[in-house]
Amino acid sequence: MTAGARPRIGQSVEAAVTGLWLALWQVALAATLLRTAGATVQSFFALTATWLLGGVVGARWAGRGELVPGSPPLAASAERAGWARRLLPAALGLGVGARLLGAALPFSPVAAGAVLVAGAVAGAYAGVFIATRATSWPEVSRLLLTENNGFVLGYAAAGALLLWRAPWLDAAALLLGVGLGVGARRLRELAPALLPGAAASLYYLLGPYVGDRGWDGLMTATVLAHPDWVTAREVLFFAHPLVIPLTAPLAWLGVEPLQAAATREALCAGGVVTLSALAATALARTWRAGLLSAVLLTLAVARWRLATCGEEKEAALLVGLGFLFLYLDHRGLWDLRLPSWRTRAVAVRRTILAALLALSVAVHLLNGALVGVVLGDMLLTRSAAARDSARREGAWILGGAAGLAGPFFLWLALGPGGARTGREVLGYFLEYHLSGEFLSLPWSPSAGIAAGLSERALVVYASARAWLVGDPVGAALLPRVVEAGLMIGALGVLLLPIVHRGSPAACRLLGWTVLNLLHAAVFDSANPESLSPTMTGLVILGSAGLLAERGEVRRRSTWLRAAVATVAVALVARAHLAEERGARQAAQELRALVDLAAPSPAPLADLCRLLDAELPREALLLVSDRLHASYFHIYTRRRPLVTAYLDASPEVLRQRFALTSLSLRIYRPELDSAAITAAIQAGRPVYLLSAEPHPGAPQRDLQWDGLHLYTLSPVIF
Amino acid sequence: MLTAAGAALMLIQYVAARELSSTLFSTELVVIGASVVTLIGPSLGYALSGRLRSARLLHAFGAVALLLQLALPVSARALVGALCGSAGTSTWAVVLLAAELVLLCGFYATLLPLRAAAVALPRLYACELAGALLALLLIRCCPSWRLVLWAYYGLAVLAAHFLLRRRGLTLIVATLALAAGAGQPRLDAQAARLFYSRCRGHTSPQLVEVAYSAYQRIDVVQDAPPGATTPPARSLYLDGVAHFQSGELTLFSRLLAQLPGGLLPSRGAALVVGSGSFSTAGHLHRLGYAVTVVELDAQVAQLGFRNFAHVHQLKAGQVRLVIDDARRFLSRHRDLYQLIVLDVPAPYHVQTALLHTPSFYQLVATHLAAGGVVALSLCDELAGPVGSSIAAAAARAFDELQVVESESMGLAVLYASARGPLPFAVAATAAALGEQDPLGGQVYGDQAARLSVRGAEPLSENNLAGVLTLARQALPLTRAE
Repeated sequence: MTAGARPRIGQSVEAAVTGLWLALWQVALAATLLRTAGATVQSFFALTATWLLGGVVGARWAGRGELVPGSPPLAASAERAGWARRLLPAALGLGVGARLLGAALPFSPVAAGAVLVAGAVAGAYAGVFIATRATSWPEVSRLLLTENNGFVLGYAAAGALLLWRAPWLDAAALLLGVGLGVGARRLRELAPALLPGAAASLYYLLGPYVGDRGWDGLMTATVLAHPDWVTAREVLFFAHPLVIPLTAPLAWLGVEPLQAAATREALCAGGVVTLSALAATALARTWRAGLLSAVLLTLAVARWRLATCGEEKEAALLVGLGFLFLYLDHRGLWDLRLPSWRTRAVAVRRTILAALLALSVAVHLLNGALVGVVLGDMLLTRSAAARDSARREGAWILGGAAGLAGPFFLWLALGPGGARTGREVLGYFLEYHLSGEFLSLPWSPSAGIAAGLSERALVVYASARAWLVGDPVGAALLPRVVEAGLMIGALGVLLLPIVHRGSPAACRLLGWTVLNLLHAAVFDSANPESLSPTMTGLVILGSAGLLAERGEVRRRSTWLRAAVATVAVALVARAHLAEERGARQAAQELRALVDLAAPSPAPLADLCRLLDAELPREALLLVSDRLHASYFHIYTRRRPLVTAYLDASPEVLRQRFALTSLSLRIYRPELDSAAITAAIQAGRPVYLLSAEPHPGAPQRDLQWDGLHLYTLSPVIF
Repeated sequence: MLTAAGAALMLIQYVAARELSSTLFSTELVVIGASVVTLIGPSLGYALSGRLRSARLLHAFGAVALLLQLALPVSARALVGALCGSAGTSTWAVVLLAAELVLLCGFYATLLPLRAAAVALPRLYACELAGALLALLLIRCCPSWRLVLWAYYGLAVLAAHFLLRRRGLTLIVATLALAAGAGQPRLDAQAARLFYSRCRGHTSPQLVEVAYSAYQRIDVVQDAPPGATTPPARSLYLDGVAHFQSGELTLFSRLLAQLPGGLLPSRGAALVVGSGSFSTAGHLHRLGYAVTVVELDAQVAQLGFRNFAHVHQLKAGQVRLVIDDARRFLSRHRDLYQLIVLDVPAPYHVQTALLHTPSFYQLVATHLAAGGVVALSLCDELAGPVGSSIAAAAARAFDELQVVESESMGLAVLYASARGPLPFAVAATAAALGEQDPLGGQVYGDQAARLSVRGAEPLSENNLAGVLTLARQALPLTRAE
């Protein structure tokens, strides 16, 4: 230890970032305590005291025994080193738990206590950090200076974030803490996948689609805005039971409900991009393929639109692909190069995979296809030795997942779902398929099988195309059949080598893609959303197939493949920009009408708020589109009546309009047409929001989607 | 020694935060700024510790720091008062105070790295933290501010003893500390008079009563110019910010309480959040309401009741006083009220901003009886950045709104119902406003108010931009708060 010697850059960065994180975390915890326990001075003293106490205990505990100057951090004892490393994740976990507990149970002593415990553990981490790092720094004063500089910067930043956008403080503190926990070396290893994922999330958060939101996003937001309108059956919606509960914490953190759904999807979409980059890199053995896959997924037109509108596919894909990719890695079929995954005990990995599979299916029933992939792996693996391994691992994982998810799904059907027989249980989970709204076989008695199949294939192709580059604008260059044939041929050329000669994981991934394609062929085929899993799989496989390392012989074609990749990115980017610009321009007139400094990415949200403010409080509002009613539900106190649903019994609404239990709760009219007529006769103002013409009724043009506000009684405009 | 240094650092940070926030215009920015400055001090200390190789240099640094420490409890107010100009607090005063704190905290921070070889650091670091913890317990347990200050002065003596190791010098510091401790009330009163006359526009301020509660410094100030025939006007300052002033601010309490209280058809239970001078509670009591007052700071309630008897005209026991956080009180009780008056400070701080949010207003709405009304201040005009965000928060939580903008006051007050229409019409409110304010004003009905704030983002736990706006409005610091 020589005076004047400088610490390594890595040491300085670690100390400064630790100080920065400690300050952010301390202010975030103080803000949580303020919200949770009130503004009493006891709270402030208690948090400061527990933090200091944690620091005293941490420093004393870490400093026990002999620490040799110049020794690496945490070298005092392996046991202590292990505990010290767990302090940071513990502090983060406790802090997040305390935040959620405080949001769910305000003014509960338990919630306040949780914040104090989180503060004590964070303080202990600070004490352990100083005590253990001191031995490896040339001078103690430099360590203290660097850490304190980070703390000062963090404190100022935390204050600014708290006043500017409080949720960003929580997010920044959490992300920085996770980064510290993961460690610089591991972050550097994962950076090629993490950075595109983070960039995708950021882009989706900051650049959302400007336009109408879909049913799933609106329903999630409605349930979050009005939890008192629904029961557990609707919160744990049968098709994707955990999607709304997973979004709830974002709403508890104060994110506006529709934005909460979009935020969930933006974060999950980033996760999917990261996974895709890892997978494509593993398949192609070059990071360029990972990057190509990440860029194409991020820019895919319908994916961006669906995710930023809060549809639930990216959440489903994140957990589903997370399971699939880790499973393939666990089986040794590819190497994702995940730090510390393969070094874990086999039993630990099996348990994690079983839990992840159960979670995947609980997040979205579509992830049931993963069971098919595991079964396929068990049954179709060729070599005897590998087959034994596949069957053993598959049995463990499927058994574990069934043990975890089975009771949950059974409870869901028997309890909130009210099912009493096996048929009813099945009917509960197949409500969509049985309603007739989405499920349709490609053949029918009137058309031949071949004609039906080819027609459906074209519909599926059109959806897949729309998912990637949006709907075609203007006249097509080629007949659709020719275009579809060429594209499928090109895809075959791309995929054949990698599936044939590449990693065995490629076959399994392709199997999962095909299973999802078969489902999309019979379920809501015309909707690009149905093609999301298939297209995600194809983008990963296609990117890997295009840019895979092929050895010396094929090097000459590298430039050609790079050119194809560039053209593909350019085409998707062009389509993306066109869609983005078109949507923004379409909203211009409405934005001029509502005249807000910060308009919502959902123009109808602003329009509904404007109408709500302008219409008399006692006015009755009718809408011809049920989704328009949802905006009023989320943003105002009005409950508009859907004209088509008036006078219909719940049975009729289920059978003729295919309303699910959730839709019934939200859209079932509270008044019938007789009551509305009586209201009109009594002079109560009644309005209709519709894009359909209503000759004779005074109307006001609303500059969006051809919507008009018709005055049915009395005339005020 | 390091335990003493840790304790001294904690006490200095505490005293500095109290003095700066009650001397400069108390906003969240000032609190954050003061905290950052006290944190920069240790960075200076750590940076200097490697360079302070000679004992003489260290002793000189220590002597300067100890003198600054002894002066701090009075110097902040005196300095700001002395340098206060017509445009507000001088930037020089702020810079000098910041420099004082950086030097002071920096000195104590040099001691840890100077004493700690790497091997001993964990133990010494723990000692320093333990000292800070002990100081915190002392602050929490001390029944009075003066005792905290005696401990603060005592630690300066202890530091001198450990650092200088010369009895003579320790004796000098002890004598100075004794003098500072004994003379502090008098010096503080003089500094406060200077401060209130130069920074808050009082002509001849006298401190009727001063208290340091756990939350803030409370000053009751009266102007008694020589030869005046009328009783002196009294003002209540919380952390140096006027909370009640005889004169124009009495109109505020009349609009907030007397106007809606008088218009309500029936008189039942009323809740006042924030006691201040008790003028609001006094109005409602005289109108026949059974008033409950919820106040966070017991000392504010004591001083307000004792020193503003001529304003509130209440006798002990005529209103029920509850000392609690309003959010916690309302979440734990189920009582319903005919009228709830939110007489709470403007959102200068995060704590007070939480009393202007949709979630708090929703909590308030659950406590309104059928036909009940809530009255709250927008702390701004309806169209102003802060006023519109508070009104937008109220629009989320309440059913029908009315907003009153008084010409004399320049602030808007909002009345709202939880369910159903308000029990009084806009015309009735306008007539009542004409009686209260000779200059009259504007009354906005529900539709007009909602249209006006349609684009404003509500002040909320996650959107505290209003706090920042108010804090920035207070910079540069002016008399016109």
